[in-house]
Amino acid sequence: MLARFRDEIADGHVLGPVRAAIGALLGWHALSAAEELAKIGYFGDTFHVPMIPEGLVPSPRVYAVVLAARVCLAVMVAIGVWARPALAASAGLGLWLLLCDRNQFHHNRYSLYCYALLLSLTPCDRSWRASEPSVPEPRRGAWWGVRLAQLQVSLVYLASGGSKLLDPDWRNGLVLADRIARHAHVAIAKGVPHGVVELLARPDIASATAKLAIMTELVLCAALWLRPTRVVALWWGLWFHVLVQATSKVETFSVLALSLYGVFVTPDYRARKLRFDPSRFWGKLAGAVVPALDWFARFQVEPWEPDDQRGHSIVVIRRDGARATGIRAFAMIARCVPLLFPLWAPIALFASFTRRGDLTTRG
Amino acid sequence: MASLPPSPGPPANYRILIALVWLVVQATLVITANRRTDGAFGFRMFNESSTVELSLHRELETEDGRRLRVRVDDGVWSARASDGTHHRLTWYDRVPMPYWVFDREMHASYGAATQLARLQAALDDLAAHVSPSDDLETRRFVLDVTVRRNGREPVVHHLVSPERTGLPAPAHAPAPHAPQGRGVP
Repeated sequence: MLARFRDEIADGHVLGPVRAAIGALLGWHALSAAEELAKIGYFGDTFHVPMIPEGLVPSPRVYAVVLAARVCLAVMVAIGVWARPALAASAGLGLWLLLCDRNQFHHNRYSLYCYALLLSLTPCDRSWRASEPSVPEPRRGAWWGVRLAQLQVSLVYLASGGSKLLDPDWRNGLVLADRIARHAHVAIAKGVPHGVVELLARPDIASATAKLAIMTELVLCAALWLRPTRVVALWWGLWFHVLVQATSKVETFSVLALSLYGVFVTPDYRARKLRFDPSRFWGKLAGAVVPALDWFARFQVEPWEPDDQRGHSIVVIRRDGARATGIRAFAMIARCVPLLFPLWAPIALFASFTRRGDLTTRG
Repeated sequence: MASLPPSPGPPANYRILIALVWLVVQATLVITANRRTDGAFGFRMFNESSTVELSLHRELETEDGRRLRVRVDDGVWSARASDGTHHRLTWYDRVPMPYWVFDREMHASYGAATQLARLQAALDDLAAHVSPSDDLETRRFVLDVTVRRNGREPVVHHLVSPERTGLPAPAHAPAPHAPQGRGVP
């Protein structure tokens, strides 16, 4: 197993969108820090709690230069120019500044720099880049950094879920019930029915919700690794993070977690085929939309010659060679296209009731 | 096939070493997060739903040596300075705005214990940085922190800064000036 971890090689195309998202998040944090510098001033001139010796805290001028460098590095990461060194440098500078002031420490920022560092060890620079190199390079690369990033995702879920499990206030729903009660007016103002808010704040419901949240985090940490459960775990985790983002102030935590789900995408470049009939509306639509939204390059999309025989607008040929049409083909597209993925489970469930439908997670 | 079997070439054992070091460091940080008041590097998201409410006071000394607590509204006070005039001072000169506001219930980010530790540090920092040339009156700062932990009954914690140094002896000082707040004996 260690030898496989050490020597595994895989197609790096799926890491391009992950890298671009991490670049955007790095840029967002760097620009936020720059905005604070402009509005509030240099943090070192006021109350701050360094975790490193005060002598290692940058001067105002150096801090400004570091922020400018972080913005530039984030752009390089996002557009794929010297992306891997830029990721490592961004992570180093970000971690350094986190250590300079405990007040500015947030788990999502620390996680971001950890992931940036780990991503710099992967072949994440082989796709989604602004310029192609003059000499084509192989898309494949060493996969051990990706495995390490996957382990880090699981570790974060385990630490978060485990600490909640060990805390009686969390386990019994006290934390959630109080949180819901205190934010009830905000939820009602946003249009959530009064009855729903009251129901969620009930001790028994809050306790059940807390246990569900803990279980979600602990199950995700393992289910993301197993092929039969991975797609379901990704879908469940996606909605879990959407809910967290909608109900809490978590900076970019949920966006970061969802971006890192990309490292669990199987690295099989265009292993599925999508054939569409360009003479039909749905076929034409799929032929235009799927290539544009297929960020992980799951499909080889090609039209077929229209004929006068009655047929289908689209046919998806899965990795195992099985063909899917109609709602089953749409379920396959939803499974593979990130923007449609939130809809995957209900569509797949609906498709399972068709004559040739199944509820397995075969892709 | 999703990934390929081992590639030819010398084995890159450094990868295993780096991975082991990374995992050991991360696991150690997670396991020891309890030892840090803010649980830093422990990935303990949404650990509490506690709130804090802050009330700042200045402790002054009268001519007869009694201590007098004066409430500081909104973190702003006025004090007699060394040049004989009165200077307007504010908590926010040292502790920037995003962190805390006064007399309003706030979410205790990263938990009540974290907030108490950070507030004590902020109070100490304030006492150390308010210059005697700007404030000859305040002997020390007191912060009453009302903590409501996960919806429980409120508990008030009294945080006290160290005595300020470089101030004149109180016996020779004139009556303290406290136009911004209400005196509490």
